[in-house]
Amino acid sequence: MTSPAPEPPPGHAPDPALPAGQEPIVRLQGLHKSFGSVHALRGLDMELPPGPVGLLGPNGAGKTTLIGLLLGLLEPTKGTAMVAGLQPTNRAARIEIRKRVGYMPESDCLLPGMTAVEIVSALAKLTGLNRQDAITRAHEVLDYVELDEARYRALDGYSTGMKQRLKLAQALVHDPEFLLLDEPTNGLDPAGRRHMLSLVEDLGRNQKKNVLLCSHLLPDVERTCDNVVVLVKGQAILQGSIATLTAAESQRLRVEVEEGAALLQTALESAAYATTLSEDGALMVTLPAGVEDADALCGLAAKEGVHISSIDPVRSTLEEVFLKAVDESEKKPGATTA
Amino acid sequence: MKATTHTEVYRRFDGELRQRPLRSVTLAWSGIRIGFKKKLPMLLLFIIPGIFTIVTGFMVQLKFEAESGALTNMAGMEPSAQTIAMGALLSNQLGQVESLIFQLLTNMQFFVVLIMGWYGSGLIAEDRKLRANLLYFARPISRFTYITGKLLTVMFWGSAAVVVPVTIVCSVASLASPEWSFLTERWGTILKLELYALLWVFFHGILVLAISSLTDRRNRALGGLFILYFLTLAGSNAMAELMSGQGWRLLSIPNNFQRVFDSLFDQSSNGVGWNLEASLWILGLVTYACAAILSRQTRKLEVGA
Repeated sequence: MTSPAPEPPPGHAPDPALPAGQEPIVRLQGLHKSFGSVHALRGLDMELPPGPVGLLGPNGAGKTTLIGLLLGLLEPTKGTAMVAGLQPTNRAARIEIRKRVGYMPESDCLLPGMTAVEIVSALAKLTGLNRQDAITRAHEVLDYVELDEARYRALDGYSTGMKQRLKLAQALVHDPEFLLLDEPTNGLDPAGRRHMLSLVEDLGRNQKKNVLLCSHLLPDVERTCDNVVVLVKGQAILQGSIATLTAAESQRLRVEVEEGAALLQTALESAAYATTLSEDGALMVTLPAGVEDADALCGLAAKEGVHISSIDPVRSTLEEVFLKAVDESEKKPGATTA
Repeated sequence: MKATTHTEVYRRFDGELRQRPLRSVTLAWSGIRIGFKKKLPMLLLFIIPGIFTIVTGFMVQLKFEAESGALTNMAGMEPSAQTIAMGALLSNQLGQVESLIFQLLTNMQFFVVLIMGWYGSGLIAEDRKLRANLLYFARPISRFTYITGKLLTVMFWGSAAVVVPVTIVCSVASLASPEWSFLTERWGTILKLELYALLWVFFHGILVLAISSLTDRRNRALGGLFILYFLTLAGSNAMAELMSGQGWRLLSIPNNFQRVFDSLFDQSSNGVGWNLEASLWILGLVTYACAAILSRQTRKLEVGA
């Protein structure tokens, strides 16, 4: 028995990143979780679209609490959390959710003394696979994460990268539709990190798995995810598609000139343009209020006799968007939806 | 489809996920396999119980063989007298063998605590330390399954140290006795021996797990078990001597088990001044307290605390 999906509350705006008719993989409505006087989550409202989604946030933002609620390990103080159309209100629903979710914890949670095959097959059996399927499937996922002969060795001699890949393998063993990956690149060297990200990218983009990637490493999220949620102090301060959030801002331009960059910079600043000179010699220009396009800028350059070779709108990085959102949330609490 | 830097293909799983009733056995088997991999501790821990078992088995065998000469001497006796004499001899033999098995059980008990402490102390403490609980509770298993799995693990090692030796020696006695008489005449005792051994293993299993659940260090759990066990034993005996009150002995777990043993096998209670019900109450209360601790601590583990 599973609980039916509740109707969205009046005034609830669906995530614009979610295409019409597409069911969200996670739907949170007014989700609140307190531990005594500590408010871990404060009225979260969000719909995570299918596909890879990044969950960003500093320590103590409520990411682990959110994972606990999604797995049905914690009960919300207020509000509802739905995963894959199921609401973990009773034991049957919680068990059904855990069959559909694969969880890769952040911590080094593997018991020493066992081999990779033993661990993955035992966890597969605990999830509900029969003995034969569990062993076959263990080898398949260990092949996938490229733990070759090492799978027969005890964990004691494993590198951090191998342990992380093994944790990913155990999360995949029952072929879940939704993967919760908690800091999968933690402690990895550049090569290990690249390998792990390629796996996450493959799962999200090619295998069409729904992935919630919890991380504080913005480039990891930017590389592997289509959507992002930023959680700060138990509130989603920013959510939406990365493409939209980092879309080019018409107010910021990158101007490349053949000669006389300093001359043009002086002229622009005297005309109330904010400018900075980048390391490669290009001018980063922010248009003043009321100026819609680059015509006036071109006119100023012509007047100074400076020849412009290119003008391009500047895209924000996810890091810039994240920092801006965090700054804004500190000044004025409230969610921003892209 | 492959990712740019990844060369292995992901395969889908088309099988079925079922709610299997014996998942605690899977969990237990994982723990048992880890135990089997540590060969030296296993050898050291089981060598003395093994020797005890073999020696007792030989003694039981010899006891029956030594008396077979006496049975031959009865061949010339009157049939009725022969029956009475044989019956008396057999009864005496069976009684002596029973005493040997009781002695084996008594001698084994402290080794069982040592073995269960060694194998059980880390079962929950190590999970907590490494946060392996997150892997278990992210699966469709309940806290009951988790506790049962851990309990079966520790009970396996305890049973290997006491239930198996008792079974082996009882089997030797049955095979060596004339016409399986040990099995046919003393089946009640065999049953009670096995039940008592299982009760001992279950009680100490739940005690070891409860202590293990309170810490995240295996050594601390092991230390805690022995402090609780031997301090209460020494303390209660000392208080009983000093205060001249046998009731103090109720504070010790082994004393209470001894009382149950005496009652179950009609042994003299060496002048203990309390009744069986009091011991059963104490053991029941300790079991309840351990179960409550386990329930509370595993709830914390379940939510990742």
